[in-house]
Amino acid sequence: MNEKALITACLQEDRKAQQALYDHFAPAMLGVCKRYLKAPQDAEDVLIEAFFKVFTNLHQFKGEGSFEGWIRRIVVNESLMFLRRNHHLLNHVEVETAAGLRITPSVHEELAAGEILCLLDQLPMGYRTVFNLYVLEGYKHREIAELMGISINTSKSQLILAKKRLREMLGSE
Amino acid sequence: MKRQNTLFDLFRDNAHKLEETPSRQSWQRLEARLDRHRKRSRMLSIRQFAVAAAVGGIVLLAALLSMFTDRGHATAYQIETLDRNEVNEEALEALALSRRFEQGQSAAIAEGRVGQKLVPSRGEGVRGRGGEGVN
Repeated sequence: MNEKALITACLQEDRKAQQALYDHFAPAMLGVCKRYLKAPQDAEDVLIEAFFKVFTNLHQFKGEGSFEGWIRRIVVNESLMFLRRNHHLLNHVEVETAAGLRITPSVHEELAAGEILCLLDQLPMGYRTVFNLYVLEGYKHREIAELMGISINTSKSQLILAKKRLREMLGSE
Repeated sequence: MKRQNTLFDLFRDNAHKLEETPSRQSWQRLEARLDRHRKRSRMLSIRQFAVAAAVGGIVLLAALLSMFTDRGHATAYQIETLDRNEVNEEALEALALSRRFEQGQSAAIAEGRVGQKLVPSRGEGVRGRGGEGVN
């Protein structure tokens, strides 16, 4: 079943089609959630909530852009809402010590999944969120400022600090 | 710039490694949530239908009550034939004139000059043209 047929079936609340769509996109989207949220259980909770919204708002998808991109935006928004609800985004200016953590990728261009998560986990939540939105989601600072309720300058400074912290941890300075 | 791109690319190129199949329970939890939502939507639809039906019923009941009430008035004011003695000729003429006037059949009535008054003409009845039956 192609993507369009799958969407049509999901609009008719066909459970098998919904499960097929979930099985297809959930692994990548869980990866997105894990980048924003430290606890694996939180990531899965947010994933479920996001897919619930995907299925109940599917009629809003007009088929004009990428379907995966549409799902990803919902997942990112849901992750940010979770962080906001739990007041994690309030501490975006905090500076945590990295406790002397050093990760040296075996080959510089290679990072294992565990290493990525380890590096992201060492960042304060604000740094981590801005870094994710800018580098991995491709948002502009203006969009990040709107999404997070911060100023554009704060978004820029958070990104600079995130990069600095990551470089320190990667031992490249 | 190169160093920045290297750092960004390092994450971009390796982010896919975080992909992971969710636990089996996750679909079951989502399915249960979707089932609850479907039930709630159906209940909401039934409730909306019930409210619409109730409003329709009330309107119908009101219409029926109104009809019966009107019928009651008709019974209270039956039409009877007048006795000859009861007939007030002047009143009948005035009534006929006012009915014609209402139906737009009656033209303007000349009210006469100063020192004259308008009364129904006697014996000849009310004529179609205004002023003709008026002395």
